[in-house]
Amino acid sequence: MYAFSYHQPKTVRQAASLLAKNEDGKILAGGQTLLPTMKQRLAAPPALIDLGKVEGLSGIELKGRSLVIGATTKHVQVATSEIVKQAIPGLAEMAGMIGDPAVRNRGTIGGSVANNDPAADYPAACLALGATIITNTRKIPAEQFFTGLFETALEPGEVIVKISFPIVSKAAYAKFRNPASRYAMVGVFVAKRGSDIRVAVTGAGSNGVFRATALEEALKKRFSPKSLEGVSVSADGLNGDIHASPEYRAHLIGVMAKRAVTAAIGK
Amino acid sequence: MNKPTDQTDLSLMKFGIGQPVSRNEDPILVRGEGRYTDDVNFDGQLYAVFVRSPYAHGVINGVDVAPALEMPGVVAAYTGADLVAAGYDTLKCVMPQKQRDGSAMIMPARPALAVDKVRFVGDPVAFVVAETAAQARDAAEAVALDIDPLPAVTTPEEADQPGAAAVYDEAPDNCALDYHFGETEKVDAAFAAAAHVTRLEIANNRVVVNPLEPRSAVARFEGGRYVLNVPTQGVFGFRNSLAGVLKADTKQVHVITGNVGGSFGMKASVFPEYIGLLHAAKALGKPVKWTDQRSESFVSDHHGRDQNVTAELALDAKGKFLAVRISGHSNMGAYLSPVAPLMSTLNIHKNGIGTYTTPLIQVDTRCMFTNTVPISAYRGAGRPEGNYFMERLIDEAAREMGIDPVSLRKRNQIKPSQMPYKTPTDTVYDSGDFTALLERAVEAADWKGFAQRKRESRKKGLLRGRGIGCYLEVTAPPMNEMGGIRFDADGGVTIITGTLDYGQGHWTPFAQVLTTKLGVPFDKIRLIQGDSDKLIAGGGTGGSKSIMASGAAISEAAEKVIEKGKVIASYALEAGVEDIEFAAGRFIIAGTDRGIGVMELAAKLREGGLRLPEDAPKSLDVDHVHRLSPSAYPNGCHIAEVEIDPDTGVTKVVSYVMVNDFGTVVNPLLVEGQLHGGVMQGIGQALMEFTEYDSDGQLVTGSFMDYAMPRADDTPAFSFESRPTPAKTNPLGAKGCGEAGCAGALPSVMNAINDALAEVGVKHMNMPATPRRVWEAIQAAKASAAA
Repeated sequence: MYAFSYHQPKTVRQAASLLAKNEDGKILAGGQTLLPTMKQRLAAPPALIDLGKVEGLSGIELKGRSLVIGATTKHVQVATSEIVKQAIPGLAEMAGMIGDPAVRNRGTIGGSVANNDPAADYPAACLALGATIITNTRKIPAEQFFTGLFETALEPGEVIVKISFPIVSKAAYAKFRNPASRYAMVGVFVAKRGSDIRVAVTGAGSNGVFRATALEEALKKRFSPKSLEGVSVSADGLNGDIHASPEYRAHLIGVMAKRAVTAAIGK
Repeated sequence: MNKPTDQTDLSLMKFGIGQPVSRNEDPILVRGEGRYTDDVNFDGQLYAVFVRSPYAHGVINGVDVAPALEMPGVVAAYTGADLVAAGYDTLKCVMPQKQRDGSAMIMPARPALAVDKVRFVGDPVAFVVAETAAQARDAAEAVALDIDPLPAVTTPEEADQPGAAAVYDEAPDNCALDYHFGETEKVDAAFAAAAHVTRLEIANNRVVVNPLEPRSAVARFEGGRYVLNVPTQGVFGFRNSLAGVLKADTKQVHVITGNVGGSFGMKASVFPEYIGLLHAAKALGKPVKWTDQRSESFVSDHHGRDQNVTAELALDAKGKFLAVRISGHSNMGAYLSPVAPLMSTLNIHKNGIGTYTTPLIQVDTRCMFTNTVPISAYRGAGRPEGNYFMERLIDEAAREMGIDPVSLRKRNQIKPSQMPYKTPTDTVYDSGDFTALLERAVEAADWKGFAQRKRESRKKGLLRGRGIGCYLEVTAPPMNEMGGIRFDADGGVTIITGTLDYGQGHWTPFAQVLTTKLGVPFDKIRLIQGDSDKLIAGGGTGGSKSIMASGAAISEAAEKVIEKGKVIASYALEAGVEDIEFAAGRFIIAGTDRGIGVMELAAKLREGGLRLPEDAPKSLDVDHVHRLSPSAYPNGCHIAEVEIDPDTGVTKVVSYVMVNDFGTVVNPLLVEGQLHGGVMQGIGQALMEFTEYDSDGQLVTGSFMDYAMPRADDTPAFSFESRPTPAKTNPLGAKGCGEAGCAGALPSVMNAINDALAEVGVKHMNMPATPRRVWEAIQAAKASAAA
């Protein structure tokens, strides 16, 4: 780890202004990606702005037909929250599948979403559930938020405050873990809200999380795993690495989608 | 008639040989009170960080440490030239094998830091010493390397191609050793006469060792002596090797090993870093410490395995094995480790014979230099591989010939009536009932109920397979081992051994041996194993031999204590020495109830309460060297069942049954633990571990993000049984269990996977059966069926 300056703002406004003042500074939330990267000297931000002391950023509440989760809410809180389990059980289960207990007890939803790791789980949930990412300055639909590998629509000085998920009738996540890292090698989140059916895929796309429209179309006829039989997913634009070729990933998207639909129906 | 039970009998029931005594180390280690090398610190110590080659192959034009010397806290920086100027010897291969034509193998010199060329990514070229570890790390980044990259070779087959980049000038074809064993003409004739030949291309995938504790060392130069705290597998031999490289007298070198968090063969080597650290400690007059980082361990620790063979088995019409032939390549990496060729040459034929009467075996291995991390011993060191090649051949032959795999094995197994059995590879088995173990394992695994389980798996959409792995390992060759016994001033008893516990838990079983032989209380026994100044001999731990070697050394040392004790007791009891008998920890005047306990006698000696003549021994202490403890032949039968999800290629080991013959089992609890660990290491290699280099020689699987290790949820429920036939080659009758798990797991798991996949037309699945590779094999089989 290289030397850096450390800041502990008390408000979102202070955090945003520190972020604006410190070029290449980074927001520290749970630190589950940032700190290991810094320890390995792969990242060297000159300043860390720790959100740990900012009041009101953590918490889970229902607001009308939406589930609103504060940015520094930890994965374990989402996984175990009765509110989340009632409202969108598939989201609670997804949070319970992230990393390991240590990661879930430190890592935050806002950190995961802001980092937009192409193998992270939350981006798939946000995209499939049609979430809105609420920052200190504006509201960004998930559809516009995730722009590429580790890239988001966040502007310099912009801080995620909370994330709002519309409540859906059915949702579930199925994850095929990378055998080594256990990150999603293919993770598929399916959600059904009325006739709106979304299938979001993480871990597989060479440009990060994306919606599998062919699968969505097939599921619109009937929300059943049977609808996905024979529907093939193109390997174009999918990642290839030592653990999975694009073809294998394309195949796994189909398999995981079926499993997610089966799980969603069972809820 | 019930004989009255005395205290000693009770103690033996609890702590004697054969009892499942929990490990003495556990309360210490699980509370974090162990003392690993990184826990060792000295006042004023400095910290070293090594600079490693970023290129797989290249000519060193210059290594400029001047920028590093400018950095805060930096005390010194050293390059290969500095170590050459100091006149140290090079790091040596100590187990060379002969070439096919009888000539010597090619053994290029390895200086501790690269001088003329770098030969793998990670090759150390310099190091920086600073006041803090962070300063040293910053400064190491400032060292400027001027290296002209050369083309690299990473696989042994590639290295054997004409025109391949040569890793060494002295080995233009990259071949360190063209090894041959066996009677070619007879083997050829057997194959020519065979009714059936089974042939498989088998890969033995390269693995990264990944012990929990990374390597670490603290070097000092004190009183004219080199002192090194370092994790090893035995300090006596390590000290001698280290002294050789330092060109110092062994008396001038002191090696101390505390707790070791796993080694599996790897930490036995004298690594380049240690020479650098000792050089710096001497030059600077201060202790110098180094601890590897995990990401560095991937390229600084030796790797294991890495061999590709064509394995062939010749059978007659009834399935009798006529000959086995293993030929192919093995990877030495960029430098020869101390044991470099052993695993892929000698140990393949020694262990490939296994439990069978196969009269002929031929092994041809081209041991190749490549631009990769050097290869060294890894749990089993050729033993699991030899067994694996043979057991895969047997299952495949059974499938091809339509013979039941259990019957085919039974037909060819060596029978107890044939003992002692001389194999065609110069080993003589003393004992074992291999078929009885196979039969018991078949029963324990409910072999007959498999069809029903397979149907249940199919209902879940899963393929199910079962596989047998009958193994027999030839443990390490004869070496000397020390058995010291000291009766300490505080009333304790210390055992001194040259074997070294790097996670196994030697203290407890060794104390069980001593308490059984000498009747000293179990809880008074300590173990000294990691201080070279305390040893007069020591073969170290490796090759599953510690309980045979140290067990024998302790038993014989206990006999010597008894001999001395009888003389002393004769004075204490005022009787003739010929009338003194020893039993259950007491010296007794024969035919009387007058006697003295061994601990009481030791106390009297300590307190000076005995008047002894000049020629009588003055203490019960013994320094004994057990000479050339011979190999033993642990064996067993493991049966695995797997379920494979054809949709994803995911394989789960769902059942694992083992029946083992480890001869006399001193501590069944620890032996079972060794098997759990060994089997999991085998499952790791079989299902997930592999090491990949790209075409430039960069390690792709260089962290746990890409390198998969087995985890708790990969662990099946184990069924463990012992069916011992005591060994005749050592006084305890023990056979050694450390590497057996790997030897049983590789074949049983891979045979099960191949059994399951045969159903969908896959001919031969190699290790590792990763989800991707299994899925791709299924797709290929489908495509070829459709074509």
